[in-house]
Amino acid sequence: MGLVGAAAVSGVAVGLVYGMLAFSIVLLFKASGIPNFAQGNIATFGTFIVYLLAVRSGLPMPAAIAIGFVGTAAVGVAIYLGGILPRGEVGTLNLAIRTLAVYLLLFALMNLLWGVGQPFAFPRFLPAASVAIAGFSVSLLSLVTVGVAIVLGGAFWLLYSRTATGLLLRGIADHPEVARLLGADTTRLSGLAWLLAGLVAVVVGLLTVPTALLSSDMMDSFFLYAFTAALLGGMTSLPGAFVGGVVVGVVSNVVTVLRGQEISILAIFALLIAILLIRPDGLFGHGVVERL
Amino acid sequence: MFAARARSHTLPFSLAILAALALLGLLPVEPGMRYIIVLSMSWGIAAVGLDLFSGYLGLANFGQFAFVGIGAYSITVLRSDAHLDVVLALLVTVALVAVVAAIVGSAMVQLQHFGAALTTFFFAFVLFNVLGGNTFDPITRSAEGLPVPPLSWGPLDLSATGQWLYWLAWAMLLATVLLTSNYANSRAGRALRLIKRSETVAGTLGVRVRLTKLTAFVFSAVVAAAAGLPLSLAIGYLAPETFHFGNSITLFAMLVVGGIGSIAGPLIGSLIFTALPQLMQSTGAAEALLFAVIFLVFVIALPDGIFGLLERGWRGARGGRPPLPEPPLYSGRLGRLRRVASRLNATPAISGRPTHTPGEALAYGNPLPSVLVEDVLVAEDVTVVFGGVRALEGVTFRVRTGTIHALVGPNGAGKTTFLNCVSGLLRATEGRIAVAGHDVSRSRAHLIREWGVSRTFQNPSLVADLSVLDNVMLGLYGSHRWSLARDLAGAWASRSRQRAVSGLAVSALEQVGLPASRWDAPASDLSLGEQKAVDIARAIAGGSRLLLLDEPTSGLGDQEMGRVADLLKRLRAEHRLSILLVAHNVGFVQDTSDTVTVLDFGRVIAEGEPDRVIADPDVMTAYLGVAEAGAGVGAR
Repeated sequence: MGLVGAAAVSGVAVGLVYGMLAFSIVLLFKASGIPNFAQGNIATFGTFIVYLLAVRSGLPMPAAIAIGFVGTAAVGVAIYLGGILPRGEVGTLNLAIRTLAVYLLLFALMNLLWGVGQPFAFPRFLPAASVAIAGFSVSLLSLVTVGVAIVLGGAFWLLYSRTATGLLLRGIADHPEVARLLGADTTRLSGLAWLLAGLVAVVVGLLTVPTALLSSDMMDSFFLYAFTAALLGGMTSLPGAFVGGVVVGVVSNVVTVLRGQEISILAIFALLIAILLIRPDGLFGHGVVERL
Repeated sequence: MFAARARSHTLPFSLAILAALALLGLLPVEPGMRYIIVLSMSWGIAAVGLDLFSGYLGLANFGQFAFVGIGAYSITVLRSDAHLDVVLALLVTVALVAVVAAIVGSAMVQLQHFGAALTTFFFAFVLFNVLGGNTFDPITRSAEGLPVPPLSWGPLDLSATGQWLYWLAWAMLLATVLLTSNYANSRAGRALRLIKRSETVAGTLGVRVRLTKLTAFVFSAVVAAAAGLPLSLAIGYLAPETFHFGNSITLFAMLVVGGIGSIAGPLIGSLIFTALPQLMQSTGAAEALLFAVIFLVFVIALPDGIFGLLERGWRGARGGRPPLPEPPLYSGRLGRLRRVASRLNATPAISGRPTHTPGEALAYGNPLPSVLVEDVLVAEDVTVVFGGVRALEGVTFRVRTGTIHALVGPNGAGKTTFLNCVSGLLRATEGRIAVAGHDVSRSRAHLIREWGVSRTFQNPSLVADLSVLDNVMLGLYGSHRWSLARDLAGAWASRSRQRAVSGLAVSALEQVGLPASRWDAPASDLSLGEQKAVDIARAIAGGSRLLLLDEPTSGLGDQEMGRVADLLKRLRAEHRLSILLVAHNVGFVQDTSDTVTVLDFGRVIAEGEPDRVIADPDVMTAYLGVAEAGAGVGAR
């Protein structure tokens, strides 16, 4: 029981990482209507940038991370400008497939550039300490994760509720014409959404590498879990993404402890199937009627 | 949702490719090359099956290769461990995969758009982990790999080194192409393309949307599983890595590059891109990057794929003629269809003679059970609440059988919301709606359609890449007994039904007065007026007792509006069809309608004869004043 409890507690922290990735997926989905299948690989790409700067170029970690943020945000914007914007009025499924192509592209690029010697151990940037809370040993990484999630969630809450840009970002996918009529520059707003998604992706990558080895396919399970979390939260609800992430994180951690990694993947897949069957609009979503 | 359109009747292209493969098989090709072609044909089988789901239904499946994996493993295990005959092993595997696909599929079809993409991607990921994991190790032997026992069938050596594996793969590819082509070009295929256009419209035309999507998914999965047989025999040794989830994505990319929605395109794409890396003996990161770039360029710039390029080349070579050697499907048979139509016209239900008795809700067209009622539609206290907005508030009124009833009101008054409630797209929060004495307030859209309620939409949602006649035949979707088995067996097996249905479609098109020269045109070539006419033909073709028209005149000129008015009056006079229409044009309403109901902010504010209602001072202020100002703006 103690083991299961500990797994559940650390599952909350892992779940918040899934939640942040889910959040970045929902953020893009709301702003552009695109389910971004490349989001996991964007996170890996950003983490590689930080790794290379810190290890191979010998930059201090804070500098490497800072440049990593800028670089990944640029990658996000570049994907938007090069892959999504041209002939972008073709329907969301075509755009979703473009993100799949970007998934393949980033994966191949990482293998080509940095494939030799994978996987890499990321240099430790957090002490491996842990504190006891309510009888459970909670790692410093978990605490940092919770803190980062709160800061991130708070910052986005401020952006979305207090700024006109944030308000537009929230609704632009539902009513692009209205947004345009109101004088919003939808190209700039969508680019901004991709930039923000890139920033969140680096956060996710950096919170992942202390417990995982860095490799091109590092995020494959993460982004599937994150999508499940996003769906669980209703796909359009930003707080829902975090809630969904925590549910996925706890379930996957507990099942891993009880029955192993393989069964836990099956369990999350079963969770996805169950959500779709029982509540396809998620916990916080709502159905929409097509207008014709 | 794809930019690429789905093509009808591309079988000649696919058969040409198969003929080339047959020729290649007859030549003394070296064994290494034969192996590569067998491998490519196996991928081709999976790709063609996938095209039905992704090209015609328009949903992404990023996990198709997982079903190839289940097929390969299941067939091999059943053969080597259970010692089943290969045919039996194949049949058991097909049944197993159908069950798995039905489970995954029934969850997946709940979501539009990316639900399919995510579920299938995840499924492929799960399968790869299961194959490589310990749980099923006794079956899959993930650690050491699973050897595939050699196979011979009578005197035919079907193992990797034998001459006949090539022909097994070829025959299975041929069968897949024929079945998929029949599926795509049958009634079932037309329904897929309608769902791709709009699930909502499909529902109101009687299509069981989820079941139809699920069936297409199971079909494509089963085809993929069958591809596991030649694949496993060719490689001779199964390891989890062969069925890495990345292969599903590669397969999907081949489909897109080849040209989705054309059957021949995915065939070309999968053959080329399976064979190329094998021929060049390089599967490194640089090639993967190149392939990803090609993929991305095609999705953006050439969503029609290689097939689209060939099509354009063909068109260029033939001096701007239509792109495909589309057989003159209907024009040649028009005479015969006309005769069928006239024969059908002689049946009482569709004849011009008034055979009805007073108060009978007669069904136009295909016989629906006639019901004796004074009022074809009875709405009592219908209330619809969206969040905090009360879109309809206690709406109560009746539509007398055999009359034209207009529903008018300013923008946002709830007119379309009311039509959505009657046709089952929306469930009323409170209240009751009865059609011909039958409570439909809780029924699903396709059941309401079967009960004889048909409708059009403000923007006619025709399937752009189907012909006019095909579009009208969609209106007959639920009216005849069909079976998928017959559809798969080809046009020949369902020809009598096809003829009856074409006949009814032709007579509906004659009713709405669209000239026969336009019947073969793709719907995308029509003017707005013509589209509206085809939309009405589609609504009445399958038989109707209550026709709901959402702004049948918006965007039309005076002359076209006059034609619509004449058509409606004719349907009322000759067939005693009951019509409920939403309209903005006061002249049109006065000209056509027997009764007018005025809605304002979700409530009925006036009802009666058009002239009297329009003179009503309340209506003047609520409706006319606002409507004059807002008439040009797109109304709800």
